[in-house]
Amino acid sequence: MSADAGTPRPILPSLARIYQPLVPYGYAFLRVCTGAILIPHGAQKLFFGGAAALGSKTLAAWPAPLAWAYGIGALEFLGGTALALGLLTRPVALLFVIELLVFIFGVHIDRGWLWNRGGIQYPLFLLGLCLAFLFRGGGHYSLDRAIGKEF
Amino acid sequence: MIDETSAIDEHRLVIPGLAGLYRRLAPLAYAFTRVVFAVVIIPSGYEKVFQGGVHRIAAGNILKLGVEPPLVWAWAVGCLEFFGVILLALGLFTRPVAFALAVQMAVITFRIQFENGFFWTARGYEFPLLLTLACVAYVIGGGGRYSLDRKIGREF
Repeated sequence: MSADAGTPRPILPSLARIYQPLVPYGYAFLRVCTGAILIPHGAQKLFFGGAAALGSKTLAAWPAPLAWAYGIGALEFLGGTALALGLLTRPVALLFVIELLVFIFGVHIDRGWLWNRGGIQYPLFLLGLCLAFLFRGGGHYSLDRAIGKEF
Repeated sequence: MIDETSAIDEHRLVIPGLAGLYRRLAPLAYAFTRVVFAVVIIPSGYEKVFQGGVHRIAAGNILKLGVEPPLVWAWAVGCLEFFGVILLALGLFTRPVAFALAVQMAVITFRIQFENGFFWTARGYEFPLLLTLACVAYVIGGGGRYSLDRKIGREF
């Protein structure tokens, strides 16, 4: 697989020899890292009591809050894994986009901007990344690509 | 960036009718994440550079890190978070800027937030870690299809 046509000429060819073989992996790397960072959130909800806390506090006003909390935990755990592997990338990314929009506008916007005060800064970053995965899908080096069918 | 191609094969799609939409959106994905990165970080840079934040971090986290002289490093951080991320979004000097940001975010991850654990809700390190990894992706991928580096035709 050749690089895009129109790739700029390297200013430091010796440096380019190091990164040039890695260039095709840039997008997959971003997808794997984003998926992986969501997994602990799901694990914490599913296996370490996070779902009960989420259901009894943040989602208390929802119908069947505990079911939603476990659903969100499952999305983060299984969906994070799927995103990292590039399996069902676009449907999973769409679910994360919805989840993040709900959390941004339902929870974090009241806490302002700054991430370390629970604001929207970090979920907004995740939202942008998941939108990009929705745009592009699994891409090269994904299970979607290996399977040969994707949404 | 190999994954910026608009060559979507509709025979691979479960819903072939979406191919046209994907052809328009897929090439934008990588550059879009760089713009999002900038949007998320610029307010932090603006506060540091234009609203006295450099003095706050020079007397706070930078002092705690023990790098000398603190105010110089504080300005470096502020400038990276404001001017640096603007360059990142534009895709100008993408790799050097992303490398500098990766170093900065790695220091924040491992030297400042690490003691708070993983979860961001407890001020943990996951957000700066993801920022670090995104910068590594930009060092790997460079400016790509929609970048000033590509327009100029030369890049680091």
